Amino acid sequence: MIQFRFSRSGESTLGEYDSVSPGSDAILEIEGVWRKYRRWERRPTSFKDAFVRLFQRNGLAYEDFWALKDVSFSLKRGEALGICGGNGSGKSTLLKVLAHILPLTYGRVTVRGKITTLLDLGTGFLPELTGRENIALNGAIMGLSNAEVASHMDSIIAFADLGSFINSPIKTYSAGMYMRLGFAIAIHVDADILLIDEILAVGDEEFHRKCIPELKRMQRNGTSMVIASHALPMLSELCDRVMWLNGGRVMMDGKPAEVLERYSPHLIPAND
Amino acid sequence: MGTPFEVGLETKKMQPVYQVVGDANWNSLNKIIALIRHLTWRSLASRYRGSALGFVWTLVNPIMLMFVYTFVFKNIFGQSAAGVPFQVYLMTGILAWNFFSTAAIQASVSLVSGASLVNKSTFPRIVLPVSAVLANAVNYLVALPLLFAFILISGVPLTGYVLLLPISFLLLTIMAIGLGAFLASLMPFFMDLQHLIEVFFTMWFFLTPIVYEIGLIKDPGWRAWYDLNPMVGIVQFIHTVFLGLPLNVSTLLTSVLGSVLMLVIGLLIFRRLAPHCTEV
Repeated sequence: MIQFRFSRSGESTLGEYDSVSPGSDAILEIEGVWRKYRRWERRPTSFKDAFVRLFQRNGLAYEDFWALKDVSFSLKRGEALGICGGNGSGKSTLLKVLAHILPLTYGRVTVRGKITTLLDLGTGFLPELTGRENIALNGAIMGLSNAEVASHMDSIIAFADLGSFINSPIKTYSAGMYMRLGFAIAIHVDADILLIDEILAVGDEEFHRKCIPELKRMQRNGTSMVIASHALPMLSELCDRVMWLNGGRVMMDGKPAEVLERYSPHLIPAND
Repeated sequence: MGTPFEVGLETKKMQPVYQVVGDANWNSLNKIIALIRHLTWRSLASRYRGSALGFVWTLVNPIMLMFVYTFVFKNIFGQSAAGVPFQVYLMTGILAWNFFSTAAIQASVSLVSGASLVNKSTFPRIVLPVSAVLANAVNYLVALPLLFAFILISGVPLTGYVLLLPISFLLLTIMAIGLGAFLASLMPFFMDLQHLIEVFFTMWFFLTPIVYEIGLIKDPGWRAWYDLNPMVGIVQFIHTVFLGLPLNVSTLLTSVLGSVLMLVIGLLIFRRLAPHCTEV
């Protein structure tokens, strides 16, 4: 199998992880993935608009914008891959392509298991429904059968630590309760691969104290993860490996300490 | 999908392939059905939430229409309806049409209004239009006992055709799912489609024998074109089922063919386009 690896900085990104032979241990493999967006000067959003601008000079002008350029990696069972990079570097696009929320433009994605996304906490929660009703609805959206929801119900409620609020409409919940509930449902899906986008950056200390040990426990039990985050300490704590994306391209892929050390100088320092 | 092996600047660009080997997340029909049930229930609950009279409100619209159309078409234009009281004829058609058009219109916006879900999770997108249609199907079924009561009070006897009710219901449902899925897959790209659809359904309503009797179309040339509308056969068949009007086999066959075709086309186009709705 040819590895389409490329690194702009010229250094080899081949590390110990590339010894994984495809088809054996790798639960997720992506090869030469490209993702194109059309950047319209003004995208036509209606028939009328499209028709009018058909007759205008440059009315339908757009340029191609590559959000992912030739990204390849493979992920072992139980391995956690962190993704760092600035805004617009392609982190979220990569997660959406992995989840098949966005179609890929070129390349190959092979998944050998169940994927669950945690791209946002509480996607699809309905404020009028109670916590319990939202667990049932959200569980179904995440792909749990009714029997699975029923069997995990107590455990989800216990993890979210909602107490008597579980039977109240979730519009009465605090932000913390809301996040804990969203997280609790996602980790009960029994996925082989968990895709996490930034959600760990939004929570407070207490939320982290609850979630990080849980994620580590899941890793020990064989759940693979891809975690995109700006929070570098968290990446080094949670991940076995970190990939640095810049302008949609893999700059570096290796041990967290090494990658983050090279990446840190590229961060724009805060104004102080 | 373009040339399979374009040589780009850096490496070969491979044809896009996303494959799941082994146990995928949405592998069982049970899970998809469970999700459809949840979404259907959710849209019904939100419609009826906070008002015990919620169901009564869904009947207000057809009843008002019935009074207005009776006034215009019976009292002003002096129409009759194939030997059954005009109000009963109207109500039978209006309830079926309201189910069909509301279902298709709500299904058509389902991908757009569910964008937050679609952008963040991986469930099969088809559950959105299907559950929009099924929520309206439940509404229709709940209203049927009242329709039967109205028919019997008006002195129209039920016939053996009433046993074919499941078929008429099925035709309406698959037509609405097919059309709804088709429109839903275009909607994210052309938002003004919504306004076109409303105009289109109003025109379609008057091209279907709901507020008049089909026998009024005397010109056989016009009638041949008219009968190509698959809703003509469905509504005629519904008049047969509920009111015992004569069965018209040829328009019924057009409808069966039309709705199955609509379902197949709608699902195929949905499968082709829906994955791209996250790109806009």
